Amino acid sequence: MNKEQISDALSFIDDSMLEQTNKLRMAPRAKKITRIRWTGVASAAAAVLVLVAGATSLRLFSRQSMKEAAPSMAEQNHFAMMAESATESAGTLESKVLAPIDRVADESNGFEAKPTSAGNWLQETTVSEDTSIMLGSNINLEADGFNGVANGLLDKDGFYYGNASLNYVPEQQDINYTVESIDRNNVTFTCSNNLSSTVYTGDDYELETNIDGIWYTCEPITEIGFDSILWSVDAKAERVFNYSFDYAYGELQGGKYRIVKKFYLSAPDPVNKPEELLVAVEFDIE
Amino acid sequence: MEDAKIVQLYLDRNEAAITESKIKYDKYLMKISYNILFNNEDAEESVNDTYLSAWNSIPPHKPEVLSTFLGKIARGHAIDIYRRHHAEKRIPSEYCSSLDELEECVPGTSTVEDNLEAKRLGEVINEFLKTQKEDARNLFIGRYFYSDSLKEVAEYNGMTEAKAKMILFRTRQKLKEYLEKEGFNV
Repeated sequence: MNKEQISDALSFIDDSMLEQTNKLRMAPRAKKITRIRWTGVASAAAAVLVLVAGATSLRLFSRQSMKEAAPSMAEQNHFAMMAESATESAGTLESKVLAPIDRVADESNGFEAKPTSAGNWLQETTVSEDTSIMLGSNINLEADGFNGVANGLLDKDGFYYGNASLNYVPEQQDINYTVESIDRNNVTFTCSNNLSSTVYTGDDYELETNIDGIWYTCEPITEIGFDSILWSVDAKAERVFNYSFDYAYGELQGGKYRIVKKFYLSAPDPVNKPEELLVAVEFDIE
Repeated sequence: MEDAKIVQLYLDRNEAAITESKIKYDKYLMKISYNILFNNEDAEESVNDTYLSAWNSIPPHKPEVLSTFLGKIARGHAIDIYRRHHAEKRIPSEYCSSLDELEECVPGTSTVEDNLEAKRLGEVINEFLKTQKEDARNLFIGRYFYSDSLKEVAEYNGMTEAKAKMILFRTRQKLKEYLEKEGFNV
C-alpha cells in the first residue's frame, strides 16, 4: 500500500460525512484573527522582573525569591501604565512582558497561544480584534494538554502583559513520565512513548516550581548549556532519563516542581520542522 | 437553484444543467481542483472535465447531494492531471503536502504484488472515520479529501493550528493502527 492508494480510497468516503465537513468549509467565518509576533520573552521576562520588583537578583535561585519577584496586582497595574507610555516612546513592547509567562489558548476570547513553560518556545500570540482583557480579570486558558488561568492586560496594540499558570492535563497519554527516584539533587524518570512512532527529545528541559498554585520558571544559578544530543524513544517503548540539578540549580528546596520537556514527533531536519509536543511531569521534594 | 432541480435538468438532458451547476458550484469545484493542482489553468481544465463527466453520468446516477457528487468527480480529475504533470516536476500544492502526511498512515512497506482494491480500502477508512470524534473527522476530511491547508482546516473547525495539527497527527496514527488491525499489508 502507498499514500496514493490511501488518497484514492478517500473517494469512497460516505457523502454524509463529506457533506458535514463541506458545510463547515462553506460557513462564513465569525472571528477575525490578528497575529501578533512576540519575541525575546525569556530574557525580557528577566529584565522586567528587575524593573518591577526593584533590584531583586534572580541569579541565586530560591523558591522564596521567585515568590517575592512575582509582581503583585498593584505592581502590574503600575507597570502596565508605565509600559503604555514607554511603548509610545520606545515603539516596542518586547522588553515589557511580565513573568512568569505561560501562554495558552482561550477560544471563546479568541486569545490563543501555545503552551510553554516560560515563553522560550512560544513566539507568537494570536488575539481577536474584539478581545478586551482588562487587568485583574481571570481568563480561562486551554491548549493541547494544558489548562489554567491567566490574569493580565491586553493593550491597544494587542500585546499581552500579565501572568498565567498552566497545569499539565494531557487529553491523551501520548507520552508518560513515571518517577523512579528523587532527591534534592537528582530525579530519574521512565519515559513511556505510547505513540505508534518514534519520538525524539534533547537534553534540554525547563524546571518550574509551584508557589501557591502558580507555576514559575526556575531561574538557573549560573549560565547553563545543554549537549547537542537527540534521544529517541521508540514506538510503544520506554527510556530512562536522569536530570541532575546540582550545577544549574543547586540543591532544590522542598516544594512542588515540574520538568517540562519538548518532544519531536519526527526526526528534526533543517528543511521540515517536525511537530512538537510539550510534556510535563510533576514531582515533590520533601 | 436547488440540487434536485439541477439533477432533474441532467435527467431531462437539458444543457441548462451545466449552466446551473456552474453558477452554484464553480467556485467550490475550482477550490478543490486548485488545492490539488496549484495552477488556475489546470484547475479550470479539471472543472470543465467535471461538468462533462457529470453530464455523462447523470443518468444513470441520480445524486441526492450534488455538491459531494461533483466534488468527488472534480477531485478525481484533478488528481489525474496532477499525476500527469507530477511525473515531470513536483507541484507544490496542498495536495502534495497532505499526501506526504498520509504516508505516515501506510502500514509497513508496499510490495509489487499489492493488488489493493481501492473500494475495500475506502470502506475500511469509512468505518474508521465513523469511530472518530466529529472534529477529528472533519479535520481529516478537510485536510486529506478537500486538501485544504492546515490553516484553513483549523479556522473552519474553530481551533488553533497547533491543536488541529496535533489532532491530525493522532488521527493518522490511529488510522495506521486500524489498517494494520484490518490486515492491510503489515
